[in-house]
Amino acid sequence: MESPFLTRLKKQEEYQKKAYLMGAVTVWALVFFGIFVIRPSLITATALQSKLWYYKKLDKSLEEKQNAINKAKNDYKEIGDKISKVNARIPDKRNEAEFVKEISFIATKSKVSIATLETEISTKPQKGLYIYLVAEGEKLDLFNFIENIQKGERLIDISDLTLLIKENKESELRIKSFIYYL
Amino acid sequence: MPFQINLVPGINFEKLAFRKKLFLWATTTGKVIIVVTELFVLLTFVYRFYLDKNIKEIAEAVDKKANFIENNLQFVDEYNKIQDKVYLITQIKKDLYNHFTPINKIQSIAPVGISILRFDSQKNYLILYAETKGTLQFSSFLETLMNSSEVKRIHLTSADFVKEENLFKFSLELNY
Repeated sequence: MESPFLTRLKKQEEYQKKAYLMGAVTVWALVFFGIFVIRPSLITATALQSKLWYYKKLDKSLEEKQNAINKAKNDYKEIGDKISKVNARIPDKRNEAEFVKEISFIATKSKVSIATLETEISTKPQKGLYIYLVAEGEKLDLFNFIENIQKGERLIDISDLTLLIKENKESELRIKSFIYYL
Repeated sequence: MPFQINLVPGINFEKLAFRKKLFLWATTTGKVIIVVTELFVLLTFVYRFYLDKNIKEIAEAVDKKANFIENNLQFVDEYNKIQDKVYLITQIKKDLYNHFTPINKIQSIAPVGISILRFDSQKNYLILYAETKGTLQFSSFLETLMNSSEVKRIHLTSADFVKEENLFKFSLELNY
């Protein structure tokens, strides 16, 4: 015959086991739903949310770019006449022929004659041409020539200039310069 | 402890059979878990519709803007080139040296009797070769140059007196 205390203790133990089982079932249900229902939903929602954020970011940057283009278009309209001057100062291509034409025109205007005019393509990173020029004429005319060259349409960077002055004779001007294109 | 009367006899969970326990769990805790899960899934489902709608709208706007930008790509290139050119012009102009002004100035301040034969001009300095019949003109010329505010340094690079020609030939390097 089992003692009533032992019987009660065994029953207590059985109840405890069943209570743990109920707890385990609850945890299992939570884990099961969590993994197979909540997790996919969360993944989908997060992925879509990330996509939305990405699109919003993209939209914002594109909008900024679009506004910048519109502003640039307006500016372009306003400075339209100056753009041709900028392009004349630094053309897109070498345009040696145009430059020679311009120099010849300036020489004629300044009453000097061009003895030699040589060009050499630059090897430095900056696109451009070296110009070696020898001009002859009266001293004052050569002065005018220098001034007119520097005021010319195309941007010319004179690095070396030699002026040989001969009284009662034609003076000589030697120029080493650089013209740009981009 | 206050006196209480419980008219509905309480169910002693521990005394129930396992099947009944499971049923009781399913109608209480299990029900709550399932309802909350379903609620969550439903909300996510609705939210997904909302997100899909937003994404669709924003994607259309992005496409529209991308097309606009693509159509204006040539203009953007042109505009960037102009900007590069303007920047380059500004940079070059900073270093651009006007050779004409100092030559013209020296020519005008040279006293009578000084014959300037040659100018060698480079950026920021100038070498002039000249001759004179008297040293007085030379000293006068030198003094005028020394008083000029633009000239920072005068260097007499050569001085030569040729007795047969009675000429004093000299060269000066002037720094600006």
